[in-house]
This record gives sequence, structure tokens and C-alpha cells, in this order.
Amino acid sequence: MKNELRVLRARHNLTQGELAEQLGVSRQTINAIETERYDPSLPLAFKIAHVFECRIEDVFFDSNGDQRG
Amino acid sequence: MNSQAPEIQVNKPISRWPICEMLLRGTYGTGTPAESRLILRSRIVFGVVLGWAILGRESHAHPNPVTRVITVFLPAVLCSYYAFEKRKYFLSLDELTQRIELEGMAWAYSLGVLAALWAGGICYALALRWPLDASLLSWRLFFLFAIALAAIKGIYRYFATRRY
Repeated sequence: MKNELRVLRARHNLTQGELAEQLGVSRQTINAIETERYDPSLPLAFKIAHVFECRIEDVFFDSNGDQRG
Repeated sequence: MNSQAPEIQVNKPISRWPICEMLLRGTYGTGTPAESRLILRSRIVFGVVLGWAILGRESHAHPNPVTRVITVFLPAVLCSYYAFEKRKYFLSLDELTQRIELEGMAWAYSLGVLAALWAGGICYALALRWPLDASLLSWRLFFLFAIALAAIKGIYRYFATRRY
């Protein structure tokens, strides 16, 4: 699953550590999601969308059919 | 969201897992209270094990029923306590580290059963070759260990499915 997490994080001037702290996960988890080595659970995906005040599909999208709005 | 290439250039930081802490302590270097607690408790357990080892040598030299009972039961009690603390730490981890821990446990279980079966088979073959050597007759223990592991997993699986 592809995502815009790195771009959104940069737009909000957040480091991986700061975002991880807000989400209650480790910095390595954020790095793994950004590098698309790990797909987060649905609750974590919702938390991420909530932090960036956007819809979940604005952050995560299918790698086969590009469904970004 | 704009589907074009993002204009913001961001460096790609590397993962940097705390290898030393992972290998030596079995923790992920999260620095949480749960991790500090586990480290402290494992140091206490290690200290008691050290004391137990010294006590075991002493009790061997001077047989005493009380110290013998302690040396028999202490390791099991300590291992149980450490497992309890480790479980609490596991529950405090985030979803990725929990997944890594689970993968590690799954591989440890699978390889443990496989190694026990191999060791049992090899020792059995050796026991057949040299039937008078009593030290090689413990091959049954390996098979029993593998069966016990599989049984524990089966029972856990049964109770785990009750939750869903």
C-alpha cells in the first residue's frame, strides 16, 4: 500500500519522532510505514489521518489502482 | 490529494533499530516505563539466578533439605516471573514491534520443534548403534519436548479461538 505520509509530515514540519509520539508508536514504525515496508492497522491509519486532519484515503491508497482524490 | 510528484523534498531517514538492546536485553530501546521496568526486573532475576547457582554449589557440598528444595523450585519460579514480566512488556509495545515479536516467537517455536525432532532422531540412531551407552538413551526427552510444545500450542490455539 502506497502512502503520502512523508510528504504530509514534511508539510506539517514534523519529525518521525514527533509524529510517533503523537501517535503513540515507535519512530521505527513511522519509518516502516513511510518506506512502505509495513501497512498499519486500521486504527493507526485513522489516527494518522486524524493528526493530518484529512481523510484516510488522502494518506493511503492502493498501489495497483491509484485512487487518490 | 494531488497525484503529481510532491514538491516537498524530504530526506529518507534510515530505520536504525537498537541492535545492541535487542540482542542483549530482548527489548526495542523504546525508553518507556514498561521497558525500564522489564530491564530492572530482569536484572533482579539474573541476580537471584546467580545466587541460586552459588547456593546450588553449596547445597551440593553440604546436603540440606531446605536448600535442596529451593534449588529445585527456584529456576521454575524465576522463569515464570520473567515470562510474566515479558508478557507485560509485550503488551506495552506498538503494533509493529508486537508483530516482530510474534514472528520471532513463531519461528522459535517452529525451529524448536524441528530441532528437537532432529536431535531425538539422531540420539535414537546413536542409541541403537551403541545400546549399552546409557548417556545416549535420553532421546525420548527430545520427542517428549516436541510433543509438549505442540500440545501447549494446540491448547493455546483452542482458548484463543474462544475470543473470536
